[in-house]
Amino acid sequence: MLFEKLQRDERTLSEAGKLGSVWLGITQIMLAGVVFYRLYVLNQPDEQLNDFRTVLAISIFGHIFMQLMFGGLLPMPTKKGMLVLYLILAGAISGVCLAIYGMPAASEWQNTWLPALLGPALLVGAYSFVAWLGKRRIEKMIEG
Amino acid sequence: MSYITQMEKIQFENDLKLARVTINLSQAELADAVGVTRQTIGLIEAGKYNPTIKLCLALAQATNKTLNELFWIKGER
Repeated sequence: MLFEKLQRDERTLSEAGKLGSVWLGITQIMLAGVVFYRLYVLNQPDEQLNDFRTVLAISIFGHIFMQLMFGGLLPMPTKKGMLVLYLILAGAISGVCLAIYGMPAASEWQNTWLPALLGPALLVGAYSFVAWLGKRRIEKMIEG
Repeated sequence: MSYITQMEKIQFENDLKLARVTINLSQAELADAVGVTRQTIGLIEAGKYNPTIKLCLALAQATNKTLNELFWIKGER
């Protein structure tokens, strides 16, 4: 026999979960580092990084979704919290874009203001919706 | 938030080692009896792992003790 029999209990499962979560975070940070390095140091074209960015996005959003839906590990924002979160995100994105590219032409609103203002709304909306679903799931479990 | 802080402040102590030795069980035998690894029993005895209530009950049953005899909050005994 090459290995002893694998034994699992509540402690080993809990430790495996914690370690898995930490390493997932480290992997996501490294993958993000690779994307930034290729984009801004190697100056590779945008389309060559689509595969990396897709995997990274699925990993990050999938992780957040699972935590919200099944773990109850992330907080559900209040209406005021959603508004503040949206304003911060939209303000940050708009501010950075205005600082880099300047004020866009009014006719270009579909490619400038729309994604900058609608993107954060979709993100905050999706986060809140999944958080609500997760909370409802736990409430239903409590009700039996 | 305050609930988590309060929970984190609580430290457990236990008499598992004494209870186990009293009934002449090794760590491995007790581990088999309750369905966990020997390492988990060792860590509980050393105070380095807080078991779930399910495991606490199983350990109390296996050692013929009550929960209160086996586990208590540090400073309360």
